[in-house]
Amino acid sequence: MIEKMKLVSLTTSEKHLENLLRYFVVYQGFHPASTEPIIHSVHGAISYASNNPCEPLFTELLEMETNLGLKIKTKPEICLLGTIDEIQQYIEATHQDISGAFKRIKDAEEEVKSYREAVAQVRNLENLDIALDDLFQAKFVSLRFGKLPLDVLQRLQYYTESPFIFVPFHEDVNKNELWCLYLTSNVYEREIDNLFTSMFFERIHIPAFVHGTPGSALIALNQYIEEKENEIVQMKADLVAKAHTYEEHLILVKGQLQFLSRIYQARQYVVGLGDRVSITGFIEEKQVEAFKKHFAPVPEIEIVVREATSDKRFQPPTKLHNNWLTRPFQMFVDMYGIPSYKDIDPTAIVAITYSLLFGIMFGDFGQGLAVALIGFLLGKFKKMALGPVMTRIGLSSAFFGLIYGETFGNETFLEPLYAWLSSLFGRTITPIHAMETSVTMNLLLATVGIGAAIILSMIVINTIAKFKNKDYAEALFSSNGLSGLFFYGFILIGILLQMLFGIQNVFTVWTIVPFIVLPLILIFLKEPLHRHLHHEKMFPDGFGGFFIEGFFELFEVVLSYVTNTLSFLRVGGFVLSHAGMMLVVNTLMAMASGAGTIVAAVLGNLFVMGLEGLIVGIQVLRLEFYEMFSRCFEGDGINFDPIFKEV
Amino acid sequence: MSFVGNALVAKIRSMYSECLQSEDYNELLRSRSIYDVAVFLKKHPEYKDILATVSEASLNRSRLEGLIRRNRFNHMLKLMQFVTLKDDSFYRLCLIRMEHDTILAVIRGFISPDEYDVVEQIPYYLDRYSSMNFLALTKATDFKTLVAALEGTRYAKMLKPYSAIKNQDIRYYEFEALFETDYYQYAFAKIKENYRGKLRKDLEDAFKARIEMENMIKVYRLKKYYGVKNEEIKSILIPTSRVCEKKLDEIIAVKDPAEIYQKIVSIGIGTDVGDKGQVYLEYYGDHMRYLIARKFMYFSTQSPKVFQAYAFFSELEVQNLTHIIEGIRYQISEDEIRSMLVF
Repeated sequence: MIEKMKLVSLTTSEKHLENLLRYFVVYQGFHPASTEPIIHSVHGAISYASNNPCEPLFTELLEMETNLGLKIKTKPEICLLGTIDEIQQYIEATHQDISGAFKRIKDAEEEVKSYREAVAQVRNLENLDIALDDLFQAKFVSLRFGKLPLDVLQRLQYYTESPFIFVPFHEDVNKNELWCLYLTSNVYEREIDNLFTSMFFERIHIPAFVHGTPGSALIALNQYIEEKENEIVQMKADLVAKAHTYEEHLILVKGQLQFLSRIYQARQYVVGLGDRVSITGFIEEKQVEAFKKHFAPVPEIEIVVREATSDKRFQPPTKLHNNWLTRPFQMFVDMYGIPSYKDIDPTAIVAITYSLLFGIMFGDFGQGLAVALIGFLLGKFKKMALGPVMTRIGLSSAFFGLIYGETFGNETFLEPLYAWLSSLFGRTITPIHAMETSVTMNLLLATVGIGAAIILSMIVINTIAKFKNKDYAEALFSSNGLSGLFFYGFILIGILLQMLFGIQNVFTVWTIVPFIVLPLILIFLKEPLHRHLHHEKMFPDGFGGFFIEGFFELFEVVLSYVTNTLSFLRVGGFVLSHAGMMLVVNTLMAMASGAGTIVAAVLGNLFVMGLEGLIVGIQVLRLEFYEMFSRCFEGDGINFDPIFKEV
Repeated sequence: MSFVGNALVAKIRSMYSECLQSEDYNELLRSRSIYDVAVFLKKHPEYKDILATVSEASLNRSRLEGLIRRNRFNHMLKLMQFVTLKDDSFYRLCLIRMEHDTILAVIRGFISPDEYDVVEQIPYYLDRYSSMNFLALTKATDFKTLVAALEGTRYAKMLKPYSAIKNQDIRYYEFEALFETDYYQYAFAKIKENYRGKLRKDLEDAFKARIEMENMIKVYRLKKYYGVKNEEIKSILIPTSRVCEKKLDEIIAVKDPAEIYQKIVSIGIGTDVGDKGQVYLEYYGDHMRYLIARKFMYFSTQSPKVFQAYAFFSELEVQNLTHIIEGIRYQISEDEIRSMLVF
């Protein structure tokens, strides 16, 4: 069901605004209405929205947390100990103090990183017996060590005539880079450097303190890196010790910032008119008394409570409230769209029809219980939203499994149960086997019958909802309204009477005219009649164009009744498909022997449960969305989203 | 439609689902540096493969833009190689566009300063899939050598009449128009060759709508930046059967380029897309194409239409990302960058 809402306005004088906001920001469950409709419709109304100065401070605080590896806890404050300027000064001073030390660590780490790269580069030259100093101090030649991205190597072939020598070392495919060097004469140094820069060449500098052959250079570099790393460990320890001295005060500051931030957030919804200010929004009807009590300490605040739909400028939000049994199916409703406040909540319908259809299509006692168990475990331990849904549809599947007499595809396992039931009731009770020829056709017809009943129910629900919303044109003349109900219902009843009771004279001119022709004419004329009810011209663009368009639309409407009804044939189809697939599993089990039989049974059942369970789940969802929701549910509502959910 | 076509449609839709969505753009618009953009894209399913081995810290603007363009090329190629269809020639359209861009980049080299590196401007990874000799192309220094480098391709015949033109006499926009005409001629020829009935009409209409938009942008640019005379502008525009000459003349006759947008809407050859069209005419053209492509992507079951829609969306995505990256680089406000994006 959809929770009843109330439209409330909090009004006070401008000088008490801060006081109002202090109480407002700690109230949970207020869905604010946008100020725009008021500002646009009330002359002189102004908005109190302003930039939130806390945002950059939060960013700075977060940066400190990240830098220090700290997690500053939140301690909510409901009053301020200092001004925002004081808070800002404190945060900046703290950050500056910490960031100096932090920057020194970062620089040291960067240095170590670059030296590690230098080590990797020098290793490429390890076999050379030339002193590095000789290479770098060449008089006429410039030498660059570095890395090139592998994906630009192809470009090199275009520069074969350019004055440089390229020496590749080794490729690091994981990092998409090639260690290399290039040589050029000093005359072309700048040109070739630009060329390689344009190819994203990353130069690696060999530190100046490195001398001698590559072998001795490696020793010097590794020694330096080790010393630097020890230094970093010490600096980090000092920094953490320093950070802890600030931690307690930072917790306090963070709480105050959050409180301030909420105040600025709330100001977006404040409208001023003269020296009066107000906040308008929605709360749940059952919360009205608690809401009034919350603001009772401030007598200057006036609270006006009205019907949720009393002001056409605001669309009331929707909060769905369902019991434990149907609640998990709410995810399918959310997937389609939030029902509008005046609509019906289709969750209960989904819960019933989804479980029913899934159970029929996937009826197997053993597999149903297994699905239910898996669903329960997924919901309990993995917190998956689909878990509780699986539990419910699994139980439905198990129930229908009892009707079909199937347990993991085995049709004899439950025979003792039927024998016991037969003796209990004094009559033979046998399961329905879908694959029996006498059953198959009846099964298919029954599923179409269930489908027709569901469609009819949807039309009834839609008609009631439209009457409730005073949308009389839709309620009376729509294909999903009273006209559609008469047309579709009469044809169904007629066919039923003919098939079950052999009554042949249902479709006569006396019944066809009022129950088929008249509803069709009304459906055809729905749009003009809708305009007529709203005192508009019935055919604003002429009758000719309307007739052609309306004729084809009517054709489509009639066709959709047929196709939507036949769409439920898939329900019967999947009953047969399930029985067929399990027949294959049973055949495979019979072909195997010993442990092979168990393996075939386990794998076969897992395969059928995984594949067919998924397909049936999707097919039922398709039936829900296309054949049911599209008839009675528009999903154009907005979600009840309180501005402050927790303190 | 054939099963192969259905498979291609499914593949395209699945790839489209990975394209950047409005919430991604909103997130990207909040980026403060190229690093932020790179970090975001690296986590995004569409770019995570191409950026997986690239360190976001070492990425600069041009490298990131290059990788984004390369990613689009890889995706288009993946689709072209996904199935073999009898209308393959139509799907090669995006490669034709890249070939044109390559030749135009070479021509730009003729009129650019010495520092211009043509290799940097061309998609050299295309050479495996093109009949053009890229190596020879990059060595061309004037039209004569360019025509020689293009020997054996249909472009040699197209550019032969210009062989004698000297570099200082090149009017670049003429060649832009020449290749644009060639592109559309190729597109219409392939549509005519491969498709019939409503599919042909829809595809032709989509291309005509695109030509019309590009014509409008051309009028705007030629008037605003080059001061070209009305008669010359008209000779450069590509005619379509949908906009009558009188209406075209009316638009060309508009004196203030800033008023072209109102003119387009007032004479009824375009739809009003609100403030953004007013502010930025290119946005208007892209927005119109976006609406057509979205219709194809969501409602069509015919692979050529869906493919065209994907080609456009991916091109638009590259363009949007480029705007964001350039905007961040030149410290343009978030609102101004947003006004240039279409999503």
